[in-house]
Amino acid sequence: MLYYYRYRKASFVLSLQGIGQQIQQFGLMIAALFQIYLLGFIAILFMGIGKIVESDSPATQVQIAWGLLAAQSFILLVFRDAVLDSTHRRYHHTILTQTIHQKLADGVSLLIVHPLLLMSLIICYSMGLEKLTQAWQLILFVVTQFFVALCFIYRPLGTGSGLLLAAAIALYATNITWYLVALNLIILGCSTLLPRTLLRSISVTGLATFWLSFAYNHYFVLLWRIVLSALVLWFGVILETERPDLVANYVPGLVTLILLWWSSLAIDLKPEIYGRVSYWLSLDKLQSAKQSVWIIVLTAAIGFSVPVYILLGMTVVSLLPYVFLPLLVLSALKGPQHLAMTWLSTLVLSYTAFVLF
Amino acid sequence: MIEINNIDKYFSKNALFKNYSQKFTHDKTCLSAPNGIGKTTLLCMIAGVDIAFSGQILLQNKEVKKRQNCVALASDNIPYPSFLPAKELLNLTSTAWQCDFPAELIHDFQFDPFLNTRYEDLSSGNKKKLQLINALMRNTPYLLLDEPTAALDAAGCEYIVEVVSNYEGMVLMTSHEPEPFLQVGFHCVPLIPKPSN
Repeated sequence: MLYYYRYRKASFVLSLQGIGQQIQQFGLMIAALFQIYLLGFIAILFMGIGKIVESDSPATQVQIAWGLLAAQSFILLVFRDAVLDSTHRRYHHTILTQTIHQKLADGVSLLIVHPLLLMSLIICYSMGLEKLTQAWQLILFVVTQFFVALCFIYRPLGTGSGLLLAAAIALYATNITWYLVALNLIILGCSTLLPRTLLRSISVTGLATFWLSFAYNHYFVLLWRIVLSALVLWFGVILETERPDLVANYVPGLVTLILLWWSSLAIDLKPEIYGRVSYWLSLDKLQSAKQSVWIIVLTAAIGFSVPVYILLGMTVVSLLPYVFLPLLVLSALKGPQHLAMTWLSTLVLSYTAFVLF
Repeated sequence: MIEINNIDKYFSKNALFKNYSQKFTHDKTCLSAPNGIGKTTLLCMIAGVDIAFSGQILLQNKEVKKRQNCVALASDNIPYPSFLPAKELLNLTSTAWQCDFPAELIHDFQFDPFLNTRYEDLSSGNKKKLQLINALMRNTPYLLLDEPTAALDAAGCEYIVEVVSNYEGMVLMTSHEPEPFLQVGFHCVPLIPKPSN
């Protein structure tokens, strides 16, 4: 059976290289920008996992646990196809007699692309066996991390829905152990009961319903952006509470961040129009289809960034990121690396104007 | 009648058509040529879904700006949105061109069981049936079919021959198996792009 594992390894490495190439330019730009914060960010993640072991506030423990499980789902969203070797999944059955090897290879691949689980395991190891036996909530969290990750790669719709349900419970739960047990049961229930894919289809009669159907079938394209926008807003509210004197300085930055991922929506929408030019020409709807991409992206970007101004206040200069929004969308349509360059320039220009005026 | 005047079409720097001219006067025409000569590209240009060329294409001696308004094309070269079920693709065409939902064609092609299947999950034969239904439903004066019998089952082949032989408009098609169409009155025209001197 070694030949199968050798094949899975080769395919996995190739998929990771593909993902690496896709995000190389964009990732490098973001990393260059935030490199000074990178170590701090990793430290915060370790501290977050540490809070699950020991914290004064049980509610914080619960919310951090949910946040980390949601974050791992976003990471796995990127790697899911690589972990499952989705493109060649049917081929596996032609070279396998037992599916246990397929599941085993899935599990190992999953562990490799699961940095948050690895971090938890590092903490477990550093604590030593004696202390670890006293921190049973950490063991339960590690088990939950792996279980939720497994459910997510096989049943993303059910797991995603389960996580949303668990988010509501996290607002009221005050005991980390019971919360993690409940979360596992919810994920198990949702993964089992909900279908693998959406069964019903939306009646498509025009561009509006076409995009509605696209969103219905590619809900994660929107979901991760909505969650990140909510997180930015949450961060802004915390900042306003802690340092109200600095909040005006942060508003353009927060808005520019939200504009970054909503303008990158154009990258996801582009193949449906620009990759199917002859189809839209055959319907004589190419121009309106191209315009619809702009309308959707601009509306979403403005719609999800306006709450920042509503909650944290607005000045004329802080509205400057909107001036660059069309440029961001245009560069997103050209490619991720163009978007990264433009976004970086936008951020610098916004803050230069903010300082000057 | 379809008239093509001095068409130039390039892929990268390679000329597929250079100063190519042709007249299709017969109502039922079957283009024949080996692979790679440009049959599909020519159909796409006539149908108005490939606009990257120079030259002139006339329909009934008139230059029509948006030829897709009166030309329907069934071709593998048109990439349908893969996540949409067949029924929704037909719905979209029906709304876009203000034509009836093709219930009869769907029934006659025995396509009913696949209406709720996403385009990406259809077999190649069913993809071909969907393309044909999608073009036929519009009842346009010009119908272009790119390899209409490729991957079709025997019943589907018989049905498409019957449908195009009774089609009221002009039918221009490509096929590597033209015999059944020639038997119902199709004219065979070889496609030989002439390189300019």
